[in-house]
Amino acid sequence: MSQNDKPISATLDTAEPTVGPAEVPIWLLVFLGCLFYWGINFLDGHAGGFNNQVFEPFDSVTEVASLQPYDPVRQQLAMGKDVFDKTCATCHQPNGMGKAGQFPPLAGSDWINAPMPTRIGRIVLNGLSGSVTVKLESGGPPVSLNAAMAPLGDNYDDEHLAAALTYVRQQWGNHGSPVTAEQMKAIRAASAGKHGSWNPDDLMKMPLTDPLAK
Amino acid sequence: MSVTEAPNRAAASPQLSRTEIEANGAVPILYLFGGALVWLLLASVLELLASVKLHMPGLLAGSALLTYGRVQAASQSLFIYGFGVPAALGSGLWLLCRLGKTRLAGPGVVTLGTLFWNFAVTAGLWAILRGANTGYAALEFPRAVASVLLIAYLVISVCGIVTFHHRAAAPLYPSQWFVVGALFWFAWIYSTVMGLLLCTPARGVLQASVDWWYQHNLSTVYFGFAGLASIFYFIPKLTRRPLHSRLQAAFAFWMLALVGSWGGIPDGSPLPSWIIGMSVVGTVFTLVPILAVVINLRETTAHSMPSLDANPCLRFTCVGLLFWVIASVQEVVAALPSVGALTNFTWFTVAQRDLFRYGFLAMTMFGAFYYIAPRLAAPKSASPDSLWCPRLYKAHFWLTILGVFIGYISLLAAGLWQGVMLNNSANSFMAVLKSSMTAIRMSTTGPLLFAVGTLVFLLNFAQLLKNNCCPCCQRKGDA
Amino acid sequence: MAISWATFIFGPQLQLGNQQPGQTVSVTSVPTSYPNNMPGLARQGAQVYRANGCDYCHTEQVRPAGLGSDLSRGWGLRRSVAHDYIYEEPVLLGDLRVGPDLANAGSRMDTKAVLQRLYEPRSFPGNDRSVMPSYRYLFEVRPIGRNPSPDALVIPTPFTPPAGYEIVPRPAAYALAAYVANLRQDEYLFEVPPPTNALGTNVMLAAKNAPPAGTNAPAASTNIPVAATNAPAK
Repeated sequence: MSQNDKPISATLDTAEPTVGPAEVPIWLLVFLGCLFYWGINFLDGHAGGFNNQVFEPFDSVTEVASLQPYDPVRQQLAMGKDVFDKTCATCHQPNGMGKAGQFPPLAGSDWINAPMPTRIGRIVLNGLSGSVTVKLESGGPPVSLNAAMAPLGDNYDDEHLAAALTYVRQQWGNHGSPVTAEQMKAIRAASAGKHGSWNPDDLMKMPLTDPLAK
Repeated sequence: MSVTEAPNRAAASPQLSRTEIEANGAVPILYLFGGALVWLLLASVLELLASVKLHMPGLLAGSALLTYGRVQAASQSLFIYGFGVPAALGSGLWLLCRLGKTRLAGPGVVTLGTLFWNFAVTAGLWAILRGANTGYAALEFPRAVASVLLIAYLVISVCGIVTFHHRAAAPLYPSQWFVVGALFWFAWIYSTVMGLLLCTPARGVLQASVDWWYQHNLSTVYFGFAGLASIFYFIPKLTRRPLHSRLQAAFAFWMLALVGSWGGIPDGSPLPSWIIGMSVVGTVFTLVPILAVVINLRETTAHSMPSLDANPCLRFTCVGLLFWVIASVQEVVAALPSVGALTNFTWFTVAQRDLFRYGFLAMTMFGAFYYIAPRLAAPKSASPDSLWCPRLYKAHFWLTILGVFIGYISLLAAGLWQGVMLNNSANSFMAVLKSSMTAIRMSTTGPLLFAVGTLVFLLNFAQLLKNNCCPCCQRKGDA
Repeated sequence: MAISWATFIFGPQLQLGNQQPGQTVSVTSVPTSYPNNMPGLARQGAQVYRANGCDYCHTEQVRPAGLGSDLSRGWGLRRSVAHDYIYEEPVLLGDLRVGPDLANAGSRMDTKAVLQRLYEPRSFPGNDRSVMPSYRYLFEVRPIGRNPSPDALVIPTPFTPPAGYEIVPRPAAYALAAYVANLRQDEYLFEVPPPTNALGTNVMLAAKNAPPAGTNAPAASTNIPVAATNAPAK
């Protein structure tokens, strides 16, 4: 060792350290309390209700749900089902099978599955009365009965009627194309002068053209 | 205060019987510490290599073994499992013996456990360099290696618990709570992650959540406890003043245990916002134990701070405490969402992590080692501290403290600048990179100085052992 | 101890531990299952990614709009969520961005671009100061046989191999490139619905021009006409 190096001074191996009796300072506890308050507020705003589907920057599941994109297809089907359940299911039954001798079935019906909604659009607007024959795609015997359906053209607007028809045309194995509100509007305009219910034979004579076609 | 004033409830003649007690644990504890130092040297050399590769990517790029990703993984794993845990164990076991006034239980078992531990770490290092890492940060050793580490740890900590159990009846000193807490804590967090990540991995992003939880617990709680045990013992002892308040120490211990384990989830990560929210709140709450510790020690040493020249242990311990406060407060600040938007995924978090590990844990363990080693290696010496070579000690101190400081400041600057540039999307990524390169180049001096300092310390330790014979020879000489 | 375990381990495990693929959310297309499991080569590539420590420089997580510039940098259409990672093992989210985020690297790079970047990152224009290491050990520089290999990399000067030699990727390089080129998080989900523009109009609906039947591609266009209404009739 050169003279420049001071030897490390010996530490007396003294007694073990002892501990004093002082208390925890009160301001530290107050600070803890403030932090607690801050923490609760922070979690209130930032914890998304402890829901595993809430990621920042959203604040709650309701906010996330409200931002889901509008899907017109699903929306229309939901609306149509709603109308059907409230108004049509009473007679045609929720399973679309109707009641023998009273209400015609909708499931598998050739009327429903027609390529264009020319006929059924008019039925829901002005009603139907007379003897109607429904051929079923399942191959069973045709159903004939005396129809007595009330008009709905004044109860619902074009959008709701189109939605209900779309629902019926796509439920229970039916394979019809959707009906748009524009088509319903055209049908309503074309049948504006009609008084009373439609007769099934008159409807069967109508060609199945696109209501929107000129 | 002279030796005769020491309270002698259980020990008859303090000086002799104390060292007699401790000589029992000399071999295992010195082995733990010695091995830890060697791994620390290797870890800092690898860190240096990684740092150089950051701005000289062509260096050794042709070697798969030494590609940046593997070297970085190896360096971090070696620090944690090669140095951090063994050093914590070594200082903890010694503290339990010293404060409990009892022999170390099962020294042969501890030595054997350490042998297996070091063997596993070697195997783990080789596995990482060969690409068999797990992909989880801080848990890169493959499952087989991790299992051996867990078993070795359990064996060693059981000896520690038994030592604690046999302590002389006396009120517990705060350091003992920290040591025992640490022993349990690592066993618990390590076995949890072994199960949830290595054995039956959790689903998807949960793995990341568990990994972040583990890293945070490892640093804040486990390494925090280990370092604080040392700090709470050496600062009052070497300044010859009583620790200011037992209640405050208990408060700090329980608060750190409670809230220190919440945290570590970066803001913006793909987890539901409640997990991130809890993490932020928990991290901010750690301000309370930090303050409790600082007040306690400030009051302890008020008006009587001796010249730090006096004692290497005190010097290193005080520096370690300072870095702990800085690193912990930085972690609190970085957890806040508004700050995190700037600093997440930048060098800022790396700076904090490195300061915590190399600044706080390493320095505190150095301090403990400077005190413990000569007393174990040369139990009969009247002035054990003078057994260290002063020149090497001074070199070690200045090299490591400068290394930590320069590395920290440059990474901090690099991180802040990178964050600012990155948050402006008009800056191309290359522009962001170029802006922080100068600071990155400067940060290489950090691990460089630290590695040299550790080498110097190893040399000092070697001369200590050589001059005083190895402890087993010493004991044979006694008998 | 128990509280932190409950909060960070048990709670999330209960909520997300058995997370199944979710349904995509879209105006223009039929809901599909998301995510899809990685193709086999990409899954092998994930192991190569892990083994070379790529996650020490690259993250794979896109932050939401308010937290950093990830989205405005074009690193993704939307933030990353838990559903994006349910098939990954290990999840390689990364902690540091020495290099750009890779969550949607598949939208920006194809396999050839990834291979070129792995061989020599500095071979791209403007990247001469890149610090990414080159992974040449994943490639083989070999003499050209009777015919050049169809898999040989095309690298701009000055990194071209010597005359008569070609660079052919090894299987590990192919796997890694397949993995990176497969990284994509571009479907919208319940927890990350498509964004609304400043008028509060749903952006996807505003962009929809074609009738609903037919298109199956998610509307990921960036030219969004602003003037479209979202109101359902009535």
